[in-house]
Amino acid sequence: MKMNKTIKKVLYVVSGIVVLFIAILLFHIITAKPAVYENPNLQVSRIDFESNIDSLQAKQICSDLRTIKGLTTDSIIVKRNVVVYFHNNKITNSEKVYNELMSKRPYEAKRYILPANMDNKKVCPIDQNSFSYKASKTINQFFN
Amino acid sequence: MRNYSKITLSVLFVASAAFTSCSKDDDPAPEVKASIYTRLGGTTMVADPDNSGQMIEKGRLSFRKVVNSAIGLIVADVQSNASGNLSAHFAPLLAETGDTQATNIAELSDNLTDFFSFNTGGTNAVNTYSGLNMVAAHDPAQNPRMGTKASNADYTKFEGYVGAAANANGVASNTELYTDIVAVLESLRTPIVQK
Repeated sequence: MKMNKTIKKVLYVVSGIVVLFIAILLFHIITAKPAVYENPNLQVSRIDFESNIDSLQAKQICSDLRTIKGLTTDSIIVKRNVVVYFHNNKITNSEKVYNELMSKRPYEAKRYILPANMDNKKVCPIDQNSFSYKASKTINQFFN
Repeated sequence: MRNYSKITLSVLFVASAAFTSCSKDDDPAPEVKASIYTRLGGTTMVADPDNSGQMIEKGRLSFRKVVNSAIGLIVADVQSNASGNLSAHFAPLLAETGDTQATNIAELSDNLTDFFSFNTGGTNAVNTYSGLNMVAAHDPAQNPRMGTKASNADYTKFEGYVGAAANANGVASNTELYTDIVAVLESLRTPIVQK
């Protein structure tokens, strides 16, 4: 009988601690504010031309790119045979920009696609398909 | 004789006081140099050209432009399996991440803009840097987004990119502002270089 009482006490304490931990976890999830970025959909993309770009061509390419919707006002970088530009990936993507640019003039260039061996680090170190990520994201979105 | 001495002493006393005062008036108090942030536009609010309807501090916008240009210049040099082009550090920025979450570059651009703005005089809350400290941020063991540790040569190259980006955004190399920006970058070399 005494043993039973002791076990009960231990169980109460353990379940109390578990409830406390869950409460702390929920508090953290509820109060965590999602990071807010100035331009959350900013993307950088690149087009590689077959030969080096001279200043006249650079002007032409920049002017053609500026007519494409979705590019930000950041500088368009032209270096050797490479053009780097910034765009809002909610409005457009690198493929659309490349296709639109190619439709304007017969440029000899190809869209730069990052080789798999270089695409090894992502923004979020958590597996975004995991159950724990999805569960905490849902709870967090509910309270925010 | 005693009277003469008293008069002489009085004259000397008054004269020294007058000369001391004159001396103070002639030397203007040294001017306090405006912060880099102030010289880049400071807290003057302007329309954000990439977020319609939103305002932004001019100093912050200047830093954002320089930061993004520096990233663009680095990305232009990224080559697979080539050494010395910072691809290991910056190539992942080029990976598309869909349209519903912050991109790699959005996060990096924001963090760098916060960091530089806050530490060069832009101390309003909008510029609060909440990222890792410089040692942790550049240690792959503590920051999984850091591809590899940076060497002295890597950092010198990075400074060159920032310098070129500053030039591209209207800060000429022969100006005091440029020198001051380089000095800030140099002050960060020790915690960042870990190889």
